[in-house]
Amino acid sequence: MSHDHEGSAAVSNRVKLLVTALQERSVLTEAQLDDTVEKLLLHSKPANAFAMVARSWVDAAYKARLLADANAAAAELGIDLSHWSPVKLRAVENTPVSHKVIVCTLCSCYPIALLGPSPTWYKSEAYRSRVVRDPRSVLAEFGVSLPDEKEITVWDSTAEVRYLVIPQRPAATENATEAQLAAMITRNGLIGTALL
Amino acid sequence: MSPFRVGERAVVRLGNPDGHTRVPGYLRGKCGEVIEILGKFVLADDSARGIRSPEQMLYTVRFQAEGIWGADGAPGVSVTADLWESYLEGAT
Repeated sequence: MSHDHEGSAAVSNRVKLLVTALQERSVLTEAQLDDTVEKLLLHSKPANAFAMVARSWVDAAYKARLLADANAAAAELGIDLSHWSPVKLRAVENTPVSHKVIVCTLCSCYPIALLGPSPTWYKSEAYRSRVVRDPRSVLAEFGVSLPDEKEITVWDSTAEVRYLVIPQRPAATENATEAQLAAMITRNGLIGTALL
Repeated sequence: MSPFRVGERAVVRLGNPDGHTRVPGYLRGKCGEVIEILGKFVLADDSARGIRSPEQMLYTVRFQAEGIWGADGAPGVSVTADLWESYLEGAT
């Protein structure tokens, strides 16, 4: 993995040079930078997406709004997206006949504001290159074995949209509360690499 | 260049630009179906070069695996990508 280390060292160096240049020109202060990063990390957490998906399972009207406009559906639950890039969020729904999985084959685009920082494997070349070519095998390696007749759609986040999967509501949860449902959700479930 | 409609077929233009682009290589020359019109956004290729260009329509296009990988593509599998209008041309 020496290649990855060289890559991140080069990026760190470039970021340091950029920050220094911006500070020298009074475009940015260190305090402003720290404040921005702190707010982003404070507000970007998987609990945001867990709350949205759990609500969509108990409230069909909310699910319809989430599928139509995920930015507005996040705001409706008091989730603050102002500390993140102004991208379009889109929720795609697993159904009994169709499974969804998300990737960014070009880099590592991910709904950070709703799910927190992405897992290491999401950024790996192996996942990014293989999941679009043979999603059934990649999902099986994650422990998601889908019947042959189930359709799979891979959502490649190539531009200004960040995707989120709405998994199917777990079986036998008719009596579960919204909070209990939220506790059953996993990050990988919302990427599409796990079933709930 | 006329905008694409939902349900219309579109082909990803061939090309190999020197600078930044958001066209995944595996979709070059492939034909898909426009499934959503996302609105207008600044073309990433231009903003990466510091060029101020007008916003351009962005589409979600769905490609069947057999259309991307031929006989190696699995039936029932599709891939979607978000592609700017200038990345696409009409299918003949």
